[in-house]
Amino acid sequence: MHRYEKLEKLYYRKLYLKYLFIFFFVVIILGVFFVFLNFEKKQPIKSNHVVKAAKEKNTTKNIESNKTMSIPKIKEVKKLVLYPMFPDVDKLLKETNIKQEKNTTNKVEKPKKQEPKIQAKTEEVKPQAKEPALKIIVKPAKETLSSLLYLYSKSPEYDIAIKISKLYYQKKNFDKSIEWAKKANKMAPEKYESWYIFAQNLLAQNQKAKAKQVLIAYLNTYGNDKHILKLLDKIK
Amino acid sequence: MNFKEVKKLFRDEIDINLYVPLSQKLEIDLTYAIYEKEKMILIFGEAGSGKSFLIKKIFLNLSEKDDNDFKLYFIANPFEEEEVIDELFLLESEEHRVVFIDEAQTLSDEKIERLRMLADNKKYTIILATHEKEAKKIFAKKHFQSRINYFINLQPLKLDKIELFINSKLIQNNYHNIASLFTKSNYKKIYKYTKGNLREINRLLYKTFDIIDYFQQNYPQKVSKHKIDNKYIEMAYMDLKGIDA
Repeated sequence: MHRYEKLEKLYYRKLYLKYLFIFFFVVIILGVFFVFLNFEKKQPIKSNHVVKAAKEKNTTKNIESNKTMSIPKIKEVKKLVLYPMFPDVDKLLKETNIKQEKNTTNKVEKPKKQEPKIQAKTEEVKPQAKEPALKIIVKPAKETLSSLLYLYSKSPEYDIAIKISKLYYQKKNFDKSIEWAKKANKMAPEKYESWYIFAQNLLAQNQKAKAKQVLIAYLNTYGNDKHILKLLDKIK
Repeated sequence: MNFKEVKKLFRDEIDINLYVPLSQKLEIDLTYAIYEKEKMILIFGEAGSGKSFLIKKIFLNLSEKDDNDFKLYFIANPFEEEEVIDELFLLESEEHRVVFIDEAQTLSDEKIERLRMLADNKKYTIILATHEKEAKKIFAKKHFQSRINYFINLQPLKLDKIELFINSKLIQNNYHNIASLFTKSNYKKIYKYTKGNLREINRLLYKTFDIIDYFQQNYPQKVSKHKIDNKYIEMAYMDLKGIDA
């Protein structure tokens, strides 16, 4: 074989090795990329982004559900959603105290005015909120604390937060229960459960007056609710 | 296509017929300096940068003219032509002399000093073509600094000049068809492997045409009629670098 023919073979061998190297390099880069992607997927989603997204979802849901209502009602809903409920409980309590002092005679009138609004809201919101497909998938066989916490990490929803808060209350871990009630309240401040559990926790911690004020604050802001009223009666 | 003949154009030897004027300005400047009877002119650059070609070309240009008022000398290798240099020192004449000395790095310090003294007589123009390192050494000597007014540094060719060099060489010798086979990619490859060194370009192309000629004779189907395959340039480079087959 002539040396130039050997040289040609060597050239092709080098070329083959070059392409092989490029191929493996690309494969390694892609491999690292996919491993990184999977690693990110496997990590539990606890970031603030998800909570924020859930918040946004809830607010948009609320706004959308209220689109059918009259204009003044939409304004009201916006105010309620933006209003910082549990994080500034003390402020709220102060405000309600002032209101109570001023409106002691008008106590009965205000809730009466708001009654039909709340009814209308719940009537229209409920059918939209009930999305069976989602709930069937999400619900675990046994609702243990850990399974609920896992579920919440996957999809932070109001109902799950309430369940967690209740479980903590049952376990007499009042601080945690309050923490989860606050989380639930942030998502849907107009729903009574979070207020109810919050008040229950305060009662369990012998803060009767504060619990009473919280319940009254709810009634003043969102109107009458039978569960809240019942608990308020019990305290009295 | 006759690649066997084409490769001869790129032999590593100084054949002034194959000279490609890459910088006419440089030639004009140098010729002007000679007519001005400058004392010493220093041409330097890396090995293979075209110093020898340049001074030989100018020497021949001037030799062809009858109206010169100076005599011309050309010393291609001072190491082998020591006697000629010695004779220069003995010459006594009113006539101006222009001495071209290629490979000046082979001159001893003593000879360089004597050449400087000759130039001081105002009857000599000494043109030294030397490697870059030697040029720096010469210029480092203080008494040379005032006597050398012309420094010509020959830089390696850039990509566009490589294209000009190859094309000119082929076209000057009526190989238009082969010049048209070269692509931009070929020039880039040549530049990559030679870094613009003229001697390296010649060696690489000589080998490339040799390889193409072999394949054309034995495996004509492997040789494209429309372009020079980069494969052959790479093979030539591998062969020159001693990458064994």
